[in-house]
Amino acid sequence: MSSSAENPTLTTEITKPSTEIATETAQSAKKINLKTSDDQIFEVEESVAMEFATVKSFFEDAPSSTDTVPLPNVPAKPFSQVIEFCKEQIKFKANPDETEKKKSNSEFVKEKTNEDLVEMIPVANYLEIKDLLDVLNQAVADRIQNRSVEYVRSFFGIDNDFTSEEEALLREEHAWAFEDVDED
Amino acid sequence: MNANSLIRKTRRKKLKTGKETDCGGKSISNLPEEVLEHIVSFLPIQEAIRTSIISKKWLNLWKSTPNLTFYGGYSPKRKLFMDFVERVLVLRGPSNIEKFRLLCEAKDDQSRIGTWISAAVNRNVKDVYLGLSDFESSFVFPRCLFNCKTLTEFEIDMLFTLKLPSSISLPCLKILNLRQVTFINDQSTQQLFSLPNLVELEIYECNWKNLVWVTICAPKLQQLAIYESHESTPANSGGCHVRIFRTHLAYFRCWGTLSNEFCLDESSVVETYISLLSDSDRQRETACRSYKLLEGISSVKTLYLTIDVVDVCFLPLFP
Repeated sequence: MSSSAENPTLTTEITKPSTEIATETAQSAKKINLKTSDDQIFEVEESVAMEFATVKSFFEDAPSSTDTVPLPNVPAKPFSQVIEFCKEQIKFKANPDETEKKKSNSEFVKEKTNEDLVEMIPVANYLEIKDLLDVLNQAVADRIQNRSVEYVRSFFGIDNDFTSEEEALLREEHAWAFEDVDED
Repeated sequence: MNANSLIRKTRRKKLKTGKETDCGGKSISNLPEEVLEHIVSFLPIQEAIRTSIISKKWLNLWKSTPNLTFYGGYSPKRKLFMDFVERVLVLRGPSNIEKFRLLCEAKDDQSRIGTWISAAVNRNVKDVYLGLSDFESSFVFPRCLFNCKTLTEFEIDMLFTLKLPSSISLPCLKILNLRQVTFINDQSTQQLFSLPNLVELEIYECNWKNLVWVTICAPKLQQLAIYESHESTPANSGGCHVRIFRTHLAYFRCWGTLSNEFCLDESSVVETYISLLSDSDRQRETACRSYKLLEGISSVKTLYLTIDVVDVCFLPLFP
């Protein structure tokens, strides 16, 4: 199923008129095709693809490769959001401004649902995008703060693999961490 | 094969194999422990511990969390708090501690708190904050704290005497913030102010009464802020003579009645904020010291001066 045409945000890049590409320098115009686990093909600018350490290594080993790079563990939905993040990051590489970068990062996570964030973490980890992983991990930590154990499980979609006896024992053993030690 | 090419080979393999290997996957449950540990490390320590009940994989994640912040320890929950800190330090794993921040009433627990600080130093702590109150006279810190090889940021806030060992070695310390402490002797205080890699030094409402001559000579110092304490100093007590020597500051702030004398010697400064307050008992002294201070910064680029001194002699000439 090659369904990249189904996604309007992707087609704009793919169907970019060739004349326009020709006016750009060869370096900046270079595009790389990346294929997600659900067989969508993303054509991204080389500078964006090089943000993914995993992909970068691939091209360091085979610089002239024109193959489509398979990303077997990356589904299209979180991947398109990861690309969105990396495009923003590149702007700050050319023009470093820590305050603006922080603002942009917090805007990025603010508008994402819990599910979006949780889905992006494995992708950021797999592609080895350290900055994104930091941003995502901080964001999910903020969202699970002051929440019950049950909430955190459903937030991450984690199955409780403790038996009820085991959990009761653990809660007893960790009772000290559930006591409120702060001032009221 | 070097490490880099090994990493690259692993990455290539990651791209070629379609299987969900241990290096990634569709869901959070397949994530490697390091990533989950990273998430947990952003939580306050108490919440980090609570994640151990989530599932078997999460049971021990909190034990490697590097940031330990303990604020509390006021009655009536003081005992609970102190036991909590101790449990965390005993039960956590052998991994490094980055931040150790402790705010509590010390009371009779000096040696206990000292042990906690030593534990943090043994785990290569980088950032230490100690806000201690409610104990008798001076607090004796473990020697290792002032000989910690990894410490880069250090803040002490306590209304008591700061006992320092005779030899101090903090080779990585960049930021030092001393609040409300009473210094004891010239030599050890001077060592603390003249560390080789110190970049920022703030001395906030500290008591200089035991000091006579101190030189601040830190070759990498860029920011220096001194706020004198509000306590009025008896007339003609002289105060401490503080010489800022061979230091090239980007930022210098001095606030107070100049009950101590501050002068810059063979030093330069770019941006300076000086706020001089009047002390009716020592107007003449304040005026003379203001003159000396301003004379030393004559090469300043930007000067913000607030003067509340009646008997100002005259301002030195600025080129």
